[in-house]
Amino acid sequence: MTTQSPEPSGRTQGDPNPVPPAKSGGRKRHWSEPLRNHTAVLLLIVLVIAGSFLSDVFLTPRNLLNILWAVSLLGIVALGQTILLLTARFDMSVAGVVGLAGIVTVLAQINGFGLYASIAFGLGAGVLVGLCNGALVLATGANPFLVTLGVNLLVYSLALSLTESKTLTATIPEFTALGRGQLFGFLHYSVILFLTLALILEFVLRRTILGRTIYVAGLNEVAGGLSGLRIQITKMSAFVLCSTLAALTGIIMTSRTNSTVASAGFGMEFDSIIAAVLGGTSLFGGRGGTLRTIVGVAVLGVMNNLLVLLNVPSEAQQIAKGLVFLAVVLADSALRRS
Amino acid sequence: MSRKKLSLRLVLCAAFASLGAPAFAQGPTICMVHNNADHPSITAVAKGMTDEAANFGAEITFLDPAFDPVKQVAMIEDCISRQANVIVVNAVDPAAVVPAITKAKEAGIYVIMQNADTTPEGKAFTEAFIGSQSFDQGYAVGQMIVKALNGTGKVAVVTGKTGQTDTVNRTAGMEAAFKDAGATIELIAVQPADWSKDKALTVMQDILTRFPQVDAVFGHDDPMALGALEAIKAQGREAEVKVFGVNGNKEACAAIKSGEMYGTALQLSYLVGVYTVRAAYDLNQGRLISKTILAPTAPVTPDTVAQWESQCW
Repeated sequence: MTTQSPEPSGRTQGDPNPVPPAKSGGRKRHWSEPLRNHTAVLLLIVLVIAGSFLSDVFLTPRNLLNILWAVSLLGIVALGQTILLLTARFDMSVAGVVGLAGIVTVLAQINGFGLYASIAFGLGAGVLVGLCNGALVLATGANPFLVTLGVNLLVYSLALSLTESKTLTATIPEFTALGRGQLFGFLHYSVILFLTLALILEFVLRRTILGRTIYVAGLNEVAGGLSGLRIQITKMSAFVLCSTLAALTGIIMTSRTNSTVASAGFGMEFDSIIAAVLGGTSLFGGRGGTLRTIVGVAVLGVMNNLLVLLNVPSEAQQIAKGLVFLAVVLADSALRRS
Repeated sequence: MSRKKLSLRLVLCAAFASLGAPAFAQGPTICMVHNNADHPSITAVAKGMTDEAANFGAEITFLDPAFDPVKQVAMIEDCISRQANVIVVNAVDPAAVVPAITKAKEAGIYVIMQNADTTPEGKAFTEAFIGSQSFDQGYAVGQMIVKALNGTGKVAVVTGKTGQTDTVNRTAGMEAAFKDAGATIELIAVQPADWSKDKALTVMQDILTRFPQVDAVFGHDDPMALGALEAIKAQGREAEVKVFGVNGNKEACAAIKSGEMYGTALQLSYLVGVYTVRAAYDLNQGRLISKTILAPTAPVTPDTVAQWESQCW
């Protein structure tokens, strides 16, 4: 097997869509191209500049660290979603998995398992849901959006039945360190975890056969299969990874709030897709990366933070979020056409 | 019937929504479209209903639209096709349920609104409202805040989902209490955390960053109040910010007892469940019932927590 076939050539590694030629003069790049390619970075800069003028506390180190802490959970879900989006698939069940994983972890603790064993149970729940998603989508060829939406309902109901609809509290005191603990007294573990995972996944995407196969699975899986790449198992891995990262998020969230709710992850299914696409990962597969997702998540985090700091009425907040979402989707479609 | 069986039924309902549960018992068949099944207050309502159902031979099906007004309408329609005797609705959106409850009334099914009422026009199609009124809960919290702050200070509110009945009324009730007491309290921030403890934590964190002085925070329910408390503790501002909630769940009552929280409006949710089953039974027997049946709200503060602790759920 060679790694040449999936490797896109040229400057924009991992961005196999060819750069549109400039209007005149052969291969010269248009001046606006880097801007279009990195809309989220631009948006982030604009938001940060605007924020620093509108609020005198915005640019304080503590506030910036708070933003990171607030979005690190969504960020971890969004990393998994990014990988799956690269294969041109979604996972709507992450919402339910976030709730379920926390519940399984706490239930394991209540039943006498230790700290690490209980976390392993929680992650295991995520792996199982991921396998289930992958198997259903790959075996039936059904729409992944709808399949995972259905799985989400089942997972949510399962979480409710496991707790008999009650709120549970973790029994191991050290468990809260995962969500609340800080390195050097200011950097939360969940932030470190989010950033490290993004780096590792970016490396996997760029430098391993698995990573390159993920891109090919989203671009042209037939060609990839004919070239000897193991497309099916790659897609399965993407589903499992996405679900496991959602489970990790659920465990951290439970540790942060010290209590479980089956609906804990509601909204994260859409928010994680928004964050990934905002960062520049395509809804249509094959284009993007996890470092980009950090930027997408940061934009959402800064936006949420500013809405509160400026005390924007909640009705108007919905408008702002809706507009950002629409802008992102439209920009993605436009980029795809170009 | 045990909760486990009920939960199992909930799962089965999701899978076989169209297959009705046959009614073997003498009592009414009740179809309950509540909201957010694992919220502690809903759990307590459901427990009250299940316990009392045993006394009246009632069969209850619980359906959970999880905050989705559209899903709620579809679930009410499912209840109509199941030909339940009584449909109990906790409105996600007061106006959105009107067409569905109109249909129920036309099908000869009694509709009881629980905890979150419908609009005045929708009320024509319902038999009764049972619950604690969210306005009263907000009012009770407002009174507690006025007392705790001696009538003056800066207050932030961490609200439920924007536009929902409980969200709107709890803030309105609180403001009315401020006004009636002639308090000079400044409402510095009103920000949504969508009934999520984790969101309340991050929103409160930002509120604390923005305002160097916050005298009290009102979380629209106890989980959110406790989430806000985590943010306050993380910044070491426990002495400055007094935390208030609504519900009276066990964790909140414990936090009030230990001095971490200042007060909560205890909603006697178990009673709401009990009253609902009794009303459904009476309706099914062709008896007249009162249009409004209210369960009491009790202000739980460090002074009264010993008295109410046993009722916290």
